Amino acid sequence: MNPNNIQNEVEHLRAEKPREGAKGELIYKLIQSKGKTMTTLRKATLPTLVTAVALVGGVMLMQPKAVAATPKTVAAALKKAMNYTIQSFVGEGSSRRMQSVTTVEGEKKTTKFVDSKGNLVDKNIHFKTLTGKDGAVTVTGSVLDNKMVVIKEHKARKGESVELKVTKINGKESKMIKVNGKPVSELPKELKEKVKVHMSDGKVVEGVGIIGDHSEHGEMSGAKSSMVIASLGQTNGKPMILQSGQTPSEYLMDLLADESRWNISRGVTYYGARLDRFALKTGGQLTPVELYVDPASALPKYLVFKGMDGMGMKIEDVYTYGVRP
Amino acid sequence: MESHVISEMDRLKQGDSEALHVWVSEHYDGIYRFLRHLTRQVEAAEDLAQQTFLNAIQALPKYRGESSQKTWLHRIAFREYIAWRRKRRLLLPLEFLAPKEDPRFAAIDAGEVLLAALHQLPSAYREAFLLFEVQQMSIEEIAEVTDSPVGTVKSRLHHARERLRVQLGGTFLEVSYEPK
Repeated sequence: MNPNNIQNEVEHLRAEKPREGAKGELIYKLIQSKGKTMTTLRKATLPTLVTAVALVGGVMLMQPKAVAATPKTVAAALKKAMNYTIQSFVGEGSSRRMQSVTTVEGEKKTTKFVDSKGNLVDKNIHFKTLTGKDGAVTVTGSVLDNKMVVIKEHKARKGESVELKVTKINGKESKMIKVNGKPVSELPKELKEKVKVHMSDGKVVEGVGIIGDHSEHGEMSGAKSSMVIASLGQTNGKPMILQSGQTPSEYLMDLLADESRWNISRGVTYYGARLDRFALKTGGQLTPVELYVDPASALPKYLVFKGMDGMGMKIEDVYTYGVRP
Repeated sequence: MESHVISEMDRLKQGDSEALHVWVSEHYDGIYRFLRHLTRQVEAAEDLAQQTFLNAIQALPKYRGESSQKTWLHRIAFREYIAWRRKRRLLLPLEFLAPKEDPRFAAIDAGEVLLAALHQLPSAYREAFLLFEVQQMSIEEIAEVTDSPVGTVKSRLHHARERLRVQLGGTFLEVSYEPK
C-alpha cells in the first residue's frame, strides 16, 4: 500500500459518521431519562436502562427474557406466524427493484408482479391451500410473458407424482408434464380432474417458482444476469427477511435450518433494541444480509440490506406478526 | 470561553434538554468514531457511546474544566471500551464477507484495510494511533485519556507506525508529535 492510500484510509476513518438515527435515539433517551416518562422509552440496552433509571431515581424495569435465538428457533417461530408478506427483488448492478409481492394470510397466498418501473404487470396469481381434502391445490392467474412457472412435484391422492411445467415465452405457451417422473404428452385421464395444466382453476400445486432474469443463487454469471432476492415481512408490505433463490418460503426455511449458513452475534444492539444478529454467509457476490432477531420470541425484527454499491445500509422497518395459537 | 463552559455545564446539570441536545450533537460523532474504530463493531460502538454520555451526565458535577470536554469525554469513553474489551469474548465477531476484488464494495471497505492492520497490533499501540491520527489529539491529551506518561505515548506511536509500515508497506505518514 502506498503512502497516499494510507493517508486516504486515515481520511476515511476521520470522516466516518454514525449511522442515521443512532444519535437521535441517544438524545431521545437522554432527554427522556431526565424527565419522568421512562415508560415511553423504547427498548434499550439493559445497562442504558439501569443507568437511566439511576438518573431519575425512578421506576425499576424488568429485564426482558433473554433466550438466545438460533436459526432453527427462528424457523420454528416463522412457521407459527400466520400472516406475512414475501417480497422478491431483482438486483441489477448497484440497484434493486421489486419483482413480486406475495401476501400470505393463513392458507391464502396472493402474488402481484411488478415491472422495472414498479407497475403491476400481471393479474394476481392466487396460490391456495397446498393440501386440500384430496391433496389438491388450486392455481389461478396467468403466466407471465417471458417467464417460466414451475409447478413442483405433487403427490396426488393415489400416490401419483405429477410435475407440471408451463413456459410462456413471447406469447407462446408450452407445457411439460411428468407423471411419476416420466414425461407424458397429456395428463392421464384419471388425473385430469385433479390437476389442470393450464393456469386457470386447476388443482394441485406444491411449490411455485418464478424463474426470470436472474442467475443461480449466490452467483452473478455475467452482465445480463442479476439476482432474485426476497424478503419476508408483514402483511402491510414491510420487508423483513431477505432470501435468494426461486422459492420463497421453502428456501427461507431451508436456509434457516442450516446453521452453518449464518454468523450469529448475541445481544447486539440495534436502534435501541437488544437483539441477536444473524449475518448470512454468502461466500459469493450476493448482497450481504443481516437479520436481527428478538431472542425472546425468536421472531425477526429488522432486516439490514447492504447495497451492492456500498452506499450504506438499507434498513427496513419493525413489524408485528399474527401468530397461530 | 471558560464562562461559556461553566454556563453550558450549569444548564446540563439542570437537565436542560436543549443544552443536552446541543452538547451530545457536538461530541457524539467523535466519540462514536473513536469507539467504532477501537471495537470495529457498529453496535458495540453505539452502546459504548450511549454509556459514555450517560456516565458523563452523572459525572458532570465533578467536571472542573481542567481538561477540555473532548479529552474528558474520550477518557470516559476509553474506560468504557476497556471494560467492554474484558467482556467481549461473549460475542462472536462478524466478518464482512464481500469479495474484496469487486470495486462495488470499495465504499464499504474504505478505511477497513488500515483498521484491519491496526487490529493486528497490541491494543496500546492501536489506541495511541487512533487517538493521534484519527481523533487528532495531542500527545499530552492522549496521555491523559489513556492515563499513561507522555514518553510512553510517544513510544507507542513510534512502534505503531513501525509495525504498520511493515504490514502495509511503503513510507508511512510523517511523524509529528506536535499538538494538533
